[in-house]
Amino acid sequence: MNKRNISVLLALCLLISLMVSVAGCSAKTEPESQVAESAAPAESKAPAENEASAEEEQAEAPAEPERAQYSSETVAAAQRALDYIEVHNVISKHEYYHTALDHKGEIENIWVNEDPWMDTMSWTNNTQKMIGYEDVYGFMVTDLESNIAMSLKSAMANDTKGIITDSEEWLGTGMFWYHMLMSPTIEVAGDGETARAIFQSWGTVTGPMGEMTSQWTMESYGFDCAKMSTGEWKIWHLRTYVYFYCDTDDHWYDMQSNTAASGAGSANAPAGVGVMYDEDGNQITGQTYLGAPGEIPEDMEGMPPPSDMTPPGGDMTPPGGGPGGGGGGAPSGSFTTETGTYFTGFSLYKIAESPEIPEPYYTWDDLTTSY
Amino acid sequence: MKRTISMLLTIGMVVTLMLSVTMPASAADDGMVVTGSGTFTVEEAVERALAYEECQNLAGKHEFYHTALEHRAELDNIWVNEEPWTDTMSWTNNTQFCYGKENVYGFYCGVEDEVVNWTRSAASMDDTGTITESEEWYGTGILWYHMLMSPVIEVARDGQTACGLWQSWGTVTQPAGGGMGAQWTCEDYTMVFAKMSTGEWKIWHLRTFVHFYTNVDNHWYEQNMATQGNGGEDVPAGVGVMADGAKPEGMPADMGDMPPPSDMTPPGGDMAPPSGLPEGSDTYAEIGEWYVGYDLYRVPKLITIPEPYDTWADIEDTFYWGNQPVYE
Repeated sequence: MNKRNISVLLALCLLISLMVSVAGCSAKTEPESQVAESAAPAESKAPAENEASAEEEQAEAPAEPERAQYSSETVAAAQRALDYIEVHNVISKHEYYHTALDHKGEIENIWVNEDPWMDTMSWTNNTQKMIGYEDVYGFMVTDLESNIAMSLKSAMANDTKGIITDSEEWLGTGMFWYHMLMSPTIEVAGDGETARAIFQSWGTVTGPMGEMTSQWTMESYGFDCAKMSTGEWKIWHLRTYVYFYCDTDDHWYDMQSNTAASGAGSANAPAGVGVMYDEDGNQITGQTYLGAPGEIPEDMEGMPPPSDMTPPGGDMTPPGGGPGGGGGGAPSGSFTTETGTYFTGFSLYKIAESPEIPEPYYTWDDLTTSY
Repeated sequence: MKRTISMLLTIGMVVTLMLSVTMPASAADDGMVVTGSGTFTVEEAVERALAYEECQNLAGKHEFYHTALEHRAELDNIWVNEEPWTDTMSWTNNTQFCYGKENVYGFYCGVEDEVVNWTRSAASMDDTGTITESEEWYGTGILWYHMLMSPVIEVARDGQTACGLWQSWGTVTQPAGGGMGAQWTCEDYTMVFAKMSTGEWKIWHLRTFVHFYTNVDNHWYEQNMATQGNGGEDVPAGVGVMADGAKPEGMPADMGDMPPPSDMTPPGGDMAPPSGLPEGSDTYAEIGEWYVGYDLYRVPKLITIPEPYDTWADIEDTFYWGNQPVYE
């Protein structure tokens, strides 16, 4: 082939390539048209009065205009805006299910429900980590069911009227678990597949816990969410950083009143804390402070060494050993995958900390930690 | 020649492939936005996102107006103001269902009349003589502060209505009967919003599911205005207690060692518990048992969570916006 033929060949190739590329691309310029009209609704009446038939509506509806074309960046921005909303919605829903004690409904409806997400779903509190669908389900549903059953027994003990019975009808009576989510900080990944969020939370756990008890609860929440193949956002990881659970009659700066500072696992714990209950269903407080981020001074002038602390209410042996020990005993029958000290509740010895603040990220693999 | 054409096509394909990989990203495959609530055009998605913002803002505004006791201004500014929406606007709490513009205005603005009484109480408490029974001091010493949290907001697919759900914690603190009283408040809110012909979003229905209103010196498992339903004349808007002092059906008539509500003397003085209907407000409300506040004998229930929906008619009968009883 001579040079002339090669030149012609190359020129033709370039021309064909250019034509094919232009034909395959959409316009990139922002449209100048008005917002496209959706099918015109019936005139603005109260919904109850709108009796237009389907036929009439169809006859009145204008033909759908040609859809404007947008760049992928614009589409991605619109997608991100709706993703933020849906992530926020699904996270909030957790609290309403929780207050209703409908943990089965919650895990079925708003937690990840596709492989492989289910293999790595998790719930973590100060001292317990549940990983994988089986353990998360076991903790949320099975463990809490036994918690609720114990609470019913306490309710019966507190029932002065004798109307509460040990029956399914009364399960959950008198229980009020109410955690409000505030100060949302939500980041949707650039690839739109995952999202991370943290919230502050204030609330109460109230109910028959031995005697009738009302506690303040304060914790931060971390969530990782994932988008399923259906386009729905679901909760993937949930983590609580419990600063305190404290009787409303007490002060949360009092280590002996903050069950999260004493923190050990229990089968009878309000979800998210990790606390101990004795065999009568009374919460155990005042345990030796475990797992401080720093060392507890050996000599706390004016205070007895931790191992000698006898909390009000009796002589209770700290679970799991002395300071710096493990996270205490795992709840019996628990689905806890791991125990440890993942967060230490508030006390004089706790250096201020917050959960990791989510920052913009492109894809999950860019991250080194999860909630 | 055939060989030349083949080479030409091959090279063309390779170059095309290279160009399409290296050229800036083009429009998304079909330019649609995919969410769990459905698939939307970019315009629809943007409108939806803005609608969410506006509805969240409206809910927030309600609380700021309420704290300022500017109920009439609130109704005028952020509630539906076009027919036929105003015919069906509503306010519901545990025991009161106010339906239609006249009744909602009557109930909500009627509370302002009670504020006059509380202002008188404040004046009577003031030993310095600073507070006078005058318009200038209207609402002094009153703090009605309800915070909205954990929002779930769904905008209808048709873009005409939206539903929201919030948790709320707060306080009602005020002078009454010679003393100051402070209560914790805990309730869930649902709100339904409607888009007016102007494009503005407004509140159409507001409902509170009051878990408790409790004196801060007490435990809400022991004293709860929302459950005991002690009648009275001084009720903060949103509580809803039985006007005649009766307890909701199914609640124990005699709660152990607790005195009957009418005998309660709150700390701070001889003050009637702030509960019951504002004087005359029973004419604006249908009375019923729409929700039961917290106590030992109440089993928690999932109230109502907004889910994606196409149009109001699809959920009007299932979303708890008005006098749908949660506990049958």
